[in-house]
Amino acid sequence: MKIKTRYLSLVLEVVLYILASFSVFSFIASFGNQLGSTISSLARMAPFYLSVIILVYCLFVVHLLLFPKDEAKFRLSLKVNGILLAVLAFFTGVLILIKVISKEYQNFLIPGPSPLFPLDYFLLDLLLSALGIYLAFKGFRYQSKPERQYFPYEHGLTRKVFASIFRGLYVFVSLYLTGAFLLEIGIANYGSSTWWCMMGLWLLLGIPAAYLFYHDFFWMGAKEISLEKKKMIALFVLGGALFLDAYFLLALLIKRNFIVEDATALFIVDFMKSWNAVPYVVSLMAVLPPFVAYLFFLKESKQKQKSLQKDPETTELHR
Amino acid sequence: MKTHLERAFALLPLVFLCSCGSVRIPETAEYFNSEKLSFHEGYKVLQLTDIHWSVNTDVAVQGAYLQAVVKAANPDFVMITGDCLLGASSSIAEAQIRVFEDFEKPFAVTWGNHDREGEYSPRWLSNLFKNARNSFYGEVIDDNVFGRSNYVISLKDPITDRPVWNLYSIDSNSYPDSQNGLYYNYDIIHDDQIAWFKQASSYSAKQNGNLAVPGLAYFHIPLWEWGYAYLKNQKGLIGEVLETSANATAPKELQSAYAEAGIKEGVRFWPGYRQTTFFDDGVKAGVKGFFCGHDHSNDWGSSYTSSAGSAFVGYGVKSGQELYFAHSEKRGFDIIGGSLSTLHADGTFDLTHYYVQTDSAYTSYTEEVKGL
Repeated sequence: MKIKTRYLSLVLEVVLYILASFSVFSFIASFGNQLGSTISSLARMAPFYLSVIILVYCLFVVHLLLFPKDEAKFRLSLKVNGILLAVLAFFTGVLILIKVISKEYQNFLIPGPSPLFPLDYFLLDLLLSALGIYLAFKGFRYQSKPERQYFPYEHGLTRKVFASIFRGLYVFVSLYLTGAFLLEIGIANYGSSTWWCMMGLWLLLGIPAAYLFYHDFFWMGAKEISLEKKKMIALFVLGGALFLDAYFLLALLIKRNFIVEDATALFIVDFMKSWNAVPYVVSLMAVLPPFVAYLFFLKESKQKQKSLQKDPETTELHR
Repeated sequence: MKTHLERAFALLPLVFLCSCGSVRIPETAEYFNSEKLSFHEGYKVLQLTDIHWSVNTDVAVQGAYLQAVVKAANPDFVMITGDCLLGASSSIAEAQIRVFEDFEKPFAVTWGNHDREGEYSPRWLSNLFKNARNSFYGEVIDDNVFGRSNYVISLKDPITDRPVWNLYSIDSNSYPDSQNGLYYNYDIIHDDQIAWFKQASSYSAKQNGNLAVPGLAYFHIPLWEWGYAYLKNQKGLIGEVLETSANATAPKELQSAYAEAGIKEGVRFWPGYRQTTFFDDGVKAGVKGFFCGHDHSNDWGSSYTSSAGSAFVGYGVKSGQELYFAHSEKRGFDIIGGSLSTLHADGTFDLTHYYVQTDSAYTSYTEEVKGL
């Protein structure tokens, strides 16, 4: 992939991520409401749910294409995901159109999850459909490029399966938290006496997005990083996350009610169900990735040391 | 010059910090409606509650339903006891306020525990309701009283200008801090709010020749007295308790009293985390009826007597189908609609529940209690 195309794709990934974060936030608010309702509005809201799912799917597709495992998979991914994206997005766009024509949605602008609903999601679906067609077209007219970078997975099938599930979940939760992070900028109670508590929580909300941004923009594209340096980076990030966590938990101890006072808007399902999951979720989301990464690097480094002790001659050669 | 600028910039964070959380102590009069509302015999106050509009709400359908309830009851004033919104966007909140404006009746709201759970700030929501047409939402912004919707609507004699009835809006808040770290209980009317209420009611009494002004108190989360009243008289004066799940976090005192009384369904009320003195202080100050929402399936109400005196305690009728609602097998209709209090000059009131169904004709059923 050309440098310019690669950067354009990264920008596209960021734009999709931001759009998806707002959408996932509304999706959770909407879906949480469905769970406690006597009368379901699932059918009425189906185009919205589908649009959000397709948007998140598109984000995953762009990520896959940015970091392909090998050429064959890249080509297959372009074709399969391109067609799927085009068909699903087009179908959802048509569904919105049907709801408008049948007057289930009174017109293209009704009060709903966003100020321009459903027009914004209709246009988004059309755009995503066009993007799908473009990707599929690229797949069928595929031209091999020697400069394209590949990222083969090196850790075995079991870890690959677990990593895929964990990362998928992590990205989904981080999308919600990023939505809350961005929403808070617009709705924060700036005059509140607990603003210093909220600052800690707000930064924690942004951390998962920062990890994902760092991973895609710097970590994956970086030239060889030594294992020692990897360990140092993980430890440094873990230290920062623990510091923020400690600040947040201390704030919670001093102003026990600050989440209720200042952040009910951000954690709708939590308060809908009277759960107190926020402190645990935001803390884990910040600490878990650097902690897991550090453990893996530590294991790798121990394995390396063992192999060095077993085979000192090879070690000499490697040096 | 540069040093001056540097000093000025250095002071900015200090100014910001000083402005954070600044509160003021308003005059009691500020909590009363500035725009006059004249009382007349048979003045009708409609309580709507737990409307629960969310991003999923079909505003056209639900807005028309609320209009039908208002049309059926034909009130002089509409009081909404919280949970107007839950998981709503700002566009839904704006659409809702347009529906309230289109009632073409004066209206007010007291907040529930869910109203703030939407994609907007509490301040934005307060301003939206304060600035709406026909709105008597009287929050005094940045005051020193806990909660937001603490204010009084005074209905005055058109000739003498003395208060005849007071409608008290009291914020029952949302959740206290999570004491066990796992879940939230429901909050209460705080002690400083009760102190404020006593001050406001005595201010009003002074305007009435030092005679307590009869009043109705509106808030969202029930008091413990609801549970005790049910214990004494399960039939009550109106409605039913149809909540299906027993409240596992209900006060232990209530749970053991229910067990002793052999009420096998358990406590099907969801009050705040501790008992307050609000009922007693309210009765002493002339409150004749205490109305809440919160427990959607309950529309029950009864008279309750404490050492301070007697008053009616009751639920409103959930307004609309959003989130969950009950169907009464015994009575044969959905427990949705509104609750109308008809106020009399002698300090008594009548209560009528309007059960407005969602069929195309908005078929209505009513139940009534007189002389409360």
